[in-house]
Amino acid sequence: MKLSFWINGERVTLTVPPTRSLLDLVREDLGLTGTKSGCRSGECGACLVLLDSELVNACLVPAFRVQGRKVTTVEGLLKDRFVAEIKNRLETDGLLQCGFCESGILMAVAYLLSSRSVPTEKEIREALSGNICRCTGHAGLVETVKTISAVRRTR
Amino acid sequence: MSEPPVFTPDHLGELFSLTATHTDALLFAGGVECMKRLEAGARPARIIDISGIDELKKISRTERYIEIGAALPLSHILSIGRHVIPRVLHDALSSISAPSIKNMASLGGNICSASPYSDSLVALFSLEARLELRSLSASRWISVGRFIREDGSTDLRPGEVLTRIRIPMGPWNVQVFRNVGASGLPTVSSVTFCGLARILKGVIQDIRFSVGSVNRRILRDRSMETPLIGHKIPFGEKDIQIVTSRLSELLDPIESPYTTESYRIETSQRMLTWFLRELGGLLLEG
Repeated sequence: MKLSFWINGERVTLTVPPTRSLLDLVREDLGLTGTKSGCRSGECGACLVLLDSELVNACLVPAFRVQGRKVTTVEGLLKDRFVAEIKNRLETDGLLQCGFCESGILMAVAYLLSSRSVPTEKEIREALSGNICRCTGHAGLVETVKTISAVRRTR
Repeated sequence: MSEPPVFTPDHLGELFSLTATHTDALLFAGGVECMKRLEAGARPARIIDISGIDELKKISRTERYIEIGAALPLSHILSIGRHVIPRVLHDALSSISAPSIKNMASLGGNICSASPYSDSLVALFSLEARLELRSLSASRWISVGRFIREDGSTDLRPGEVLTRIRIPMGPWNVQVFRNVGASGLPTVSSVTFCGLARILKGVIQDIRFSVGSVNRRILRDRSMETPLIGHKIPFGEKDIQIVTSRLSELLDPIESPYTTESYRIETSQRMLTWFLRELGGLLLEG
């Protein structure tokens, strides 16, 4: 199928099989490798992207669902200064070791903070519930997200 | 291998025409289960994407029931709040996976996948949800308990589409949903339990409970519930024993890669016993 959509603000047109996953579109067809390929079944959260303004697992979105829509990957999200600050904070706090889950966690945290400026611990845990991190786990992440939201509130 | 053609109807009439002609088509609502199937190598003859049909994404409520469009994403259902939809359904939907999956998955997809591990189905069985099934030439309503057969298949006929889910509000003053997760698996429960009760002046007017993730199909059986109707709470240990013994007879665990059969049997019995013993306290919690 001929597919046209917006990726990180730029319009692209590709000819692809309609059932090709959005994950393969961004990584293999567009070379945006910040989005990671993990479980390919919606369990690990490594491939989270925004479709229009909704957080989705790119591995579970077929190409035909992307027609005419706006996709934001971690590369696009990092153009936002606040998201870049979140990334720095997570790295400074030693919460991202091997880095494989990093883009998914950034997407999940940014998505949470876009709707809840001061989320509760329960909301933070819920927001991160679809992101598997084998290196550090979630405890430190939760504390760092609390700190990030508190700092933002004082600005 | 050739790619299946994809149809994208934008209203129900067009959808029913397509399903009448292409009875072998795979219907994509949220697409979560469908994409897993495609990823595993399935190649349907054709695909019908129903996500663009507004009539399948409506939600309405009367005093007696709430009706939910089959293709409405779970996050949209949850966004209307815990006080608008039955609390056990809200809690069941909340427990399903992560926000990103809730943005995609639909209640209709959940039902049609007929998974024994489905959290939402456990609540829908207790609530006695009814399903509207429509095709080009006919329309019918069926209870979720009849729609999902004992062997885990569904009663969806060729050309039919699940369009609406009607959930009675019910005068429940105890509503409990609990699931015990399987270790390391965020989206799979080892046992799921839903309990409802209507208690007036300490007497059980009605009581229902369902157990999921154990048998091939969600387990709900009126023979466990009716002996308790008319009894005062707290129940005597003998009453509880009768019900849990009946549960033991009905449990027939499927093989699971996640937990052992004996663990799921014991956990089911403990959950039911806890629910029956704690009804008084749960009533006070509202």
